[in-house]
Amino acid sequence: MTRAIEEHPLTGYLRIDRVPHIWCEGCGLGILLNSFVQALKDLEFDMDKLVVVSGIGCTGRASGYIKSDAYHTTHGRAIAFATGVKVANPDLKVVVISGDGDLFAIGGNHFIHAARRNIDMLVICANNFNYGMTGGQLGPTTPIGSRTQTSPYGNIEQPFNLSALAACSGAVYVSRWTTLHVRRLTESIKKGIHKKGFSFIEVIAPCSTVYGRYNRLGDGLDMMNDLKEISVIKHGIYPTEATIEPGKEIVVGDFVDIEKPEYSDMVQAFIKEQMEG
Amino acid sequence: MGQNLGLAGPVQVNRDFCKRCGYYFEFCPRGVFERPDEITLKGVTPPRINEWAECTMCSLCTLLRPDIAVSIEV
Ligand SMILES: Cc1ncc(C[n+]2csc(CCOP(=O)(O)OP(=O)(O)O)c2C)c(N)n1
Ligand code: SF4
Ligand code: SF4
Ligand SMILES: [Mg+2]
Repeated sequence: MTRAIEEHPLTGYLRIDRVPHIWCEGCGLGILLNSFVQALKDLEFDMDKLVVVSGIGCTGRASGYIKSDAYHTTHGRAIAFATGVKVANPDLKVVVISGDGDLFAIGGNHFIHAARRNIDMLVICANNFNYGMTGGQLGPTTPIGSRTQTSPYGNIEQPFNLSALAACSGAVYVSRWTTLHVRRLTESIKKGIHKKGFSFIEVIAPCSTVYGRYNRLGDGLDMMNDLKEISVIKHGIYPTEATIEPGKEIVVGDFVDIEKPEYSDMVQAFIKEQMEG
Repeated sequence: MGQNLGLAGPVQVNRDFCKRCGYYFEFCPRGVFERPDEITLKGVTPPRINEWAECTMCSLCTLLRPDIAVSIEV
């Protein structure tokens, strides 16, 4: 019972000729990609108006699979690059898809200042609690006690709560989901695409090959089932209250949705004023 | 693409894309998929469609498939 089909349902949004993708068996990143392209499809988004930017890491490979202009930048610099794109051409929708290490370790400063300025972009961070691509080192979101390649006896550093960091730095839209909550994640991505200003979506994704292996969490399916058991939906709570303790409790939901003046609009208004004045 | 499609009703499985995540068996609310005994040359067990008539086209599988191996024809 085999038959060839001419057109994949996601042709037009996904570079289907590049599939199979590079991600490991059971990795959550493919689900994030599905969710993002499904959101674009549901919105019938004009792909000529979209720019996807990512840094380096397993997650950073996502931009290359999306059928829009896409930039795979240097490690940590996705937001700096995306800022340039948005200021140069404010008509474009700029989306950054990258990992926890890329956005919050080497790229942490770019993140907080883009949020502070409230520049219009959607940042989607796959939080897999480690540097997946380079073999599973400790990163800024690694939970206390977790084993990684660089914390073989267990991590003793306090991790960031990324959603709280985004909200406290000034993001106007903040939500957190896991790869199990695909439908809700897709809805949040649609909101984030429409939202004007700095929007942040944290996606808890299983890294079965390295983080899962170091911490004996089983395969991707075991990690997904674990997410099902421990996640609790709490919409509207301030993300500093949104617990993120893998293995115990992960609070997910739409946390922040506020309005504030946007940076690229202000740049344009300022230029106009100076030219006229 | 589409060289190796196991087709049954609206649900399509591209066996070449499969990496054996196992998510469909677990999360399809209607038990549409089954895990075959057969292992392909790549060492994976692509889902086989067991009860496609049960499919409600809810599309959960097309969101949860990390390897883009399952599509539904809408
Ligand atoms: C300037 C620079 N420093 C270090 C690296 C090595 N490096 C590549 S990916 C990466 C971390 C990736 O972690 P994360 O962003 O969490 O992505 P993941 O692979 O987990 O999705 C590092 C440190 C690099 N490529 N460039
Ligand atoms: S190393 Fe981890 S994050 Fe990277 S592709 Fe494999 S499972 Fe995914
Ligand atoms: S569309 Fe829904 S019911 Fe049909 S196979 Fe997929 S998950 Fe199962
Ligand atoms: Mg990571």
